[in-house]
Amino acid sequence: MLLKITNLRVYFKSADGFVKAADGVDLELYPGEILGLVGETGSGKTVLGLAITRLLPKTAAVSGEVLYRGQNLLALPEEEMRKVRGRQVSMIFQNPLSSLNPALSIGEQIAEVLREHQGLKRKAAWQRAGELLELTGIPAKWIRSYPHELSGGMRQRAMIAIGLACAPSLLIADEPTRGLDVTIQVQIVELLHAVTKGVSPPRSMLLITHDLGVAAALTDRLAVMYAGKIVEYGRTGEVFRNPRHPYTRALLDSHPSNGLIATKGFSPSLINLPPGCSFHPRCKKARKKCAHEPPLVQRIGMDHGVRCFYA
Amino acid sequence: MRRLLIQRLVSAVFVMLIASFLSFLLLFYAPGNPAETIIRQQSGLDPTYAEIELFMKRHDLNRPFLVQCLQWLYLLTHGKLGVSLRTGEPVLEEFTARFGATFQLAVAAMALSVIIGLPIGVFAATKPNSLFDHIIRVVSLAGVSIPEFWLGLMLMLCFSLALGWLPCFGHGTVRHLVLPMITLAVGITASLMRFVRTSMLEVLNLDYIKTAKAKGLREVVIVWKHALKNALIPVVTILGTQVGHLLAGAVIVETVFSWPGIGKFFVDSIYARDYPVIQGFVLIIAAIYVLVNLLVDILYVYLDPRVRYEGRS
Amino acid sequence: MYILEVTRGKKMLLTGSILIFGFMALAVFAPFIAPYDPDDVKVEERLLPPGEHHLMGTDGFGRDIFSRVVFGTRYSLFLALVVVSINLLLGLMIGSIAGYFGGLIDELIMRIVDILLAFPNIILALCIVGVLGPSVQNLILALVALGWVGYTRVSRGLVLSIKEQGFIGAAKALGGSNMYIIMRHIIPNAFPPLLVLATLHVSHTILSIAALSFLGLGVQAPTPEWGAMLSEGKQFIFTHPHVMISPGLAITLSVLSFNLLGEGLRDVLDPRAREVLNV
Ligand SMILES: Nc1ncnc2c1ncn2[C@@H]1O[C@H](COP(=O)(O)OP(=O)(O)OP(=O)(O)O)[C@@H](O)[C@H]1O
Ligand SMILES: [Mg+2]
Repeated sequence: MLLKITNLRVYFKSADGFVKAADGVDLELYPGEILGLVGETGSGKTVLGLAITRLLPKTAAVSGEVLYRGQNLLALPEEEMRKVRGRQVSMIFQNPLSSLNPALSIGEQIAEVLREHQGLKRKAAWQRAGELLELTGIPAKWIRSYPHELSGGMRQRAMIAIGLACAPSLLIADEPTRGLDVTIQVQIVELLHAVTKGVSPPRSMLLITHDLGVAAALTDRLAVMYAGKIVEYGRTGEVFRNPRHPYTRALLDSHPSNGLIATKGFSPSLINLPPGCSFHPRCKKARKKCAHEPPLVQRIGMDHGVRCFYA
Repeated sequence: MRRLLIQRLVSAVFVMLIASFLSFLLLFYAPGNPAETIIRQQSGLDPTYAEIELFMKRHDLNRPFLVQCLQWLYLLTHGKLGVSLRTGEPVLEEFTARFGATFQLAVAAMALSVIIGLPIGVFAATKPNSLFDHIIRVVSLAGVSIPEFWLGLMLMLCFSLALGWLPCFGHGTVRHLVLPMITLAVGITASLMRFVRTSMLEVLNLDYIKTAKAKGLREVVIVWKHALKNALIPVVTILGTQVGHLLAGAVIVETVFSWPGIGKFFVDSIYARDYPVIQGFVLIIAAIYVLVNLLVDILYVYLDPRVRYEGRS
Repeated sequence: MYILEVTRGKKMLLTGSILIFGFMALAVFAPFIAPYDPDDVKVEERLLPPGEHHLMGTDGFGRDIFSRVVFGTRYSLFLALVVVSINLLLGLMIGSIAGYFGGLIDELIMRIVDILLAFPNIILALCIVGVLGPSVQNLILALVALGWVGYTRVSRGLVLSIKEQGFIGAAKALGGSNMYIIMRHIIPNAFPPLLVLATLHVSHTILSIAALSFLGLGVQAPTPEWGAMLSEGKQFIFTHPHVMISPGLAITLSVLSFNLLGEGLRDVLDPRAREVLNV
């Protein structure tokens, strides 16, 4: 197992109380596997990704375990953790325009990772940066250009090139297709497939997405998140064919373009979660019990679990 | 880019015109007769009516306002700022002879401010609300609150009189430069520190800083390369406006330390009602200010690739 | 972050207010606080060091420095407040007119403002006082000549943002006259951010007045104004430095207290209003 997350909790202190952005998350990721993480906006997906790489602000209280190759990342000294980032685990962020430094050329932004982690000299690092750009589909002659000179798709490619620079074993991609034209989205999906499944040994990826189509096309397994908890997980095909949680079903029926708001009603405030099952106020099948007792994950077959009493 | 330059140049000419007109207007309605003051100063005797008449005639001081103004503007376009009533030398030459001393002082003070203010501002921003940050905040507030002339005198008292380390008056060696430079730099350092801190705090919250962290870069690289490069952009603009401060400060500091620059010359000319010099000074200050801001614009374009790009297309 | 700033702002606000209150009290009760007449010349007691009878010593004419510093509060604070009030009102008026009417008037005013903003304040002040001669009126004139410009700019920005909000339109629809709307709606709303600006400006003004007086171009010598006291005492700096210390400290402390107040107000102010200040 490459990554094993156990009982991860992320609470933000705020004036009105704790924001429970992740509330007891368990997840497993195997070598060479692509795991999709879906859920409506504000459900805690990005926070989960940031918790793994320990990039959350200081206001976040994090507990639980994130085992990467058997080593608890949450217990690592900061300096050790720094060496994990970018080298073993890379993260690609949502908005490539704001996530790239406007004052540095993309060549520099790639080369500096190589110089930091692989000790390459300036020239060698730039050489390699050019190769990485070509690999992700940007002509190497663009190496000296600045982020604002590139198109949205190019920027996302550049972000991927940065993430791949030191050949990490785990890639965390946070909505890599968001805000792109459909044709460009397809290209980015293909690129992501090529740099994970297409290398040997295959590379693992945690793919955070709103787009169920992208999830279906890329992922091996799927985890569905709601209000800081994983409510269902399983093989992608299995979950699509046989969704067991009412929220997952609603999600699959919903229109993909509206921010994955699966069903009517508002997503709950993460400060005052409803008692019992967090989803019960919006659930068509909710019964009395759901309002009092928080459901635990039930295993319903090989590698398929669901957090619902009546699945 | 070119449009920006043209805009700047046009407004520069306007600034100069308005500056010269205002100073002219003021001088024309000034009470007292400069001729009288100056002759008295030169000869030590009360001048006779005829002497005053003669002096005014020689310096065209008895023509109507508009004539004098136009005459002055005409000479101006020929690079002539008139003749100092006090010394009889061309104003421009008086200034160029003294400009070096002021330039030396101003550049030294600015350099000192950047060397001290920039790193401290950056450090304060990396540890917001720490003890260090609070101390810096109080110190910088105190720094902008101390009057320069008094600070200069206190430094003299301490380092020249009590400790005997540095000379208090005069000009020439590096040792002479130290006290005036520090006096002039304190206020600018304090405000620079604050600007850098604010600007850095803003930048450190942006997405690309998170990217830099996710890349596993060292904190030093993140702060001094990724953040500072962006935080400097607004700071450079501020430096441009600080030049006004610097010039005003130079006037006072030069007077306190008898530093033979244009500031001291200006104040001496005010005491002597040496009108052409006062007019010329206003114009020269305006010119320096405009020039520096032009330089700042160019630096800005160099620092911010986004502006550079827009300029190209 | 914002919350931290507010608590820090409150601390500065409190410290600044207490200090300013102290200075105000000194100014008002000066005759009761000062042990001596500030203008009482006693040649036999000249240049006494600080001691039992004279807390801060005496100056070159044997006048009690402490009493002079206490009375000096009146000049510095009063003059600074007068200058700032004139600038504030002038700037608010001109800025409101520019922002409210827009168009050509706005364009013209803002062009002039932009040009004047570019000019170093104290240098023009020096020219004005230097040419017109040193007197209190000319000092005020000199500090008003360019002082209103900053307020005009901020007021205009504020008016523009207030204008966008609905209630101005409503007031207009109800038949309010332009003057009525400016007075009743725009100015009250523009006031809080301007107050911050004004507080910070008081500290600048105290400094400018002191500097001009020090150069002999502001308040004139026998008056116990701090800058003028320093100007008079300059000749004794190497022989009797005590003459120079207290007036300078008084300037620094009064400027610092207004700076603390202004900074504190800025931190406590809501972020939207703060944005306008950075125009
Ligand atoms: N720094 C923070 N301080 C306080 N609350 C935060 C912080 N970061 C995130 N949150 C809260 O945590 C919750 C989860 O946010 P997160 O960004 O993980 O959602 P998401 O699932 O990624 O949504 P989206 O699909 O919109 O990206 C949100 O309610 C958000 O308000
Ligand atoms: Mg997100």
